[in-house]
Amino acid sequence: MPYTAVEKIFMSHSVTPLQHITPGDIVTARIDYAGMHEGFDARKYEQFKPLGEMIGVFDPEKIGMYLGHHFCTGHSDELAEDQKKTKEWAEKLGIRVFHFGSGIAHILIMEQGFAYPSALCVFGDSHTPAYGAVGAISAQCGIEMAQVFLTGTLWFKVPATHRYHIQGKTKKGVYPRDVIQHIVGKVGMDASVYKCIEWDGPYIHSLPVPLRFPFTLMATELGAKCSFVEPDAMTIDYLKGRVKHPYEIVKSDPDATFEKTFTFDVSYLEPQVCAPSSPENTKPIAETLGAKIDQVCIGTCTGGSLYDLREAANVLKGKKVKARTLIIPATHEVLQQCSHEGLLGIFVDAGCDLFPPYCGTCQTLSIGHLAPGEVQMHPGPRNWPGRTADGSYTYLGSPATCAATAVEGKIADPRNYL
Amino acid sequence: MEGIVWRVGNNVNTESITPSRWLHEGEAPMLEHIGEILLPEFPKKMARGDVWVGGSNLGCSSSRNAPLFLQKKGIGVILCHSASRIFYRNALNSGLPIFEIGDQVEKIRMGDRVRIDVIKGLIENRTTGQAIQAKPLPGFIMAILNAGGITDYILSRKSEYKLLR
Repeated sequence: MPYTAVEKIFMSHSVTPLQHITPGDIVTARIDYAGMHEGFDARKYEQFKPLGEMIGVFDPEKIGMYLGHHFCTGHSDELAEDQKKTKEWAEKLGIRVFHFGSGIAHILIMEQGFAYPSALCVFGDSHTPAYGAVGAISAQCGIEMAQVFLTGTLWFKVPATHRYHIQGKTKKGVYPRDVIQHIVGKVGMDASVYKCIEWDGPYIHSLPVPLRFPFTLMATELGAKCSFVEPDAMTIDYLKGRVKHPYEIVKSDPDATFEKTFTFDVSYLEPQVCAPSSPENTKPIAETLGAKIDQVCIGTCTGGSLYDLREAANVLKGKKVKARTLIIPATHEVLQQCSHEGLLGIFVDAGCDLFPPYCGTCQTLSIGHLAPGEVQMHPGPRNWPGRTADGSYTYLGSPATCAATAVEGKIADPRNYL
Repeated sequence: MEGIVWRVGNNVNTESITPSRWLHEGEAPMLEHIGEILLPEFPKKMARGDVWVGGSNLGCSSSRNAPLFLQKKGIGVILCHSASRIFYRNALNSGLPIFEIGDQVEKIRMGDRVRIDVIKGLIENRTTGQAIQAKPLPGFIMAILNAGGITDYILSRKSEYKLLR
């Protein structure tokens, strides 16, 4: 019987042995890695309090608390106190804690080898599908995280799989962030509700693993439950030294059933911009050129990798920014790589400000608050109302588009700087 | 359960229901502002037992527990064409019934009075006289709902959890 990768992974993780699996089945499955971030006020762990005292967790090695996801610094007495309490709670249970400046949880989990091919992971954040970039299946987990921490298991509905097949080679000035933005605009945010999205085609497999993150992570913006890229030689190379134990590579069978297949050719694509205020409001850059931008953030989970910051630096080299510009690498490892490559000097000389690794201004919880009427641009996944101040607006674009826009203080075409 | 319908459209995101602005401030300010980006009258005029009705992909985007705040505000049931997976599980795990009813959601308009039998999944539009049969929720989900949510469900079976004291 042929199966898709997600079906195989749920089958191999089922607590009770299964002879067969089909989309829609309810399966109680073993979890290989679970994590939480600080929430919106660093008090998320308090959801466990009504349960009484937890004297342990199912496996402390398989759990992480990420306290530097939404916040890059303890900017208030309350936050500092909440972070301290969370840390004490986690350490008592033996759970690994990641502090301010460590970076965005999802990227850290892949970078540090906690997600790996065929693993089943859960995390308390909507962008958890990201780990499909390394061949894992990962899904968000909310207040039922207690069940996971205590038992190492959770119930799932097995999803059908949608295949997004991408072919072609992008033109100069067009980046993965443009491609995923184009796709969200084309098929819409409810194209794959509750499905597993399997990304394939020569375009996807030509990308280094960190540039696959925007696709697997923004599967959430297509409604997906989880997301997957078949591991290839680049995946195995990326995971070398990161995953410290053997792992199995799981792939969809060639004759497996995909509920739907979407095909895209990116050869003719222009840079794409997402206009306020919904992630599917995609426009070719020409339609947005010249819109005034007060603040640019170059960073976030879909624009803060080393590859992204190289593209931004390429545009900013020898220029001066007109907009207030925040550089926020996704993780400490990326910050370190930027430092070794001399990118930080380029940013500082251009008049940008450097901030510790974290989520950035995709949601202005920590820094970069906007006043009503102000407009920002960043390469992050979302620009919904409610994420920044009421009456402020957010455009989304590739890191190169963001950099060109920073130079001109209005939306600008990165191709003029390449 | 019976109440008045508060109707929103397709792809309604959780930040529009429970804005980031109020997440830091504790429960009271959130409940004072909940839903106002979408339905300015909602936080002032809704009554306990009212019904929140959405289109497709209801509660997409952020994983914040918007259903829990809707429930604390007094919403008794959520109906929609389809729900985002996170929103769906958050509702049930918070003890708030939610039914996905596909195109039949078009039979429910803003301000209608609806009665819902949660066990049977039967929805009666008292304003139009139309009845809608939703797929009833499976037994183990009803057990979580009946306990009042996943936390109370675990507490009700505490002896099975060796790591809880």
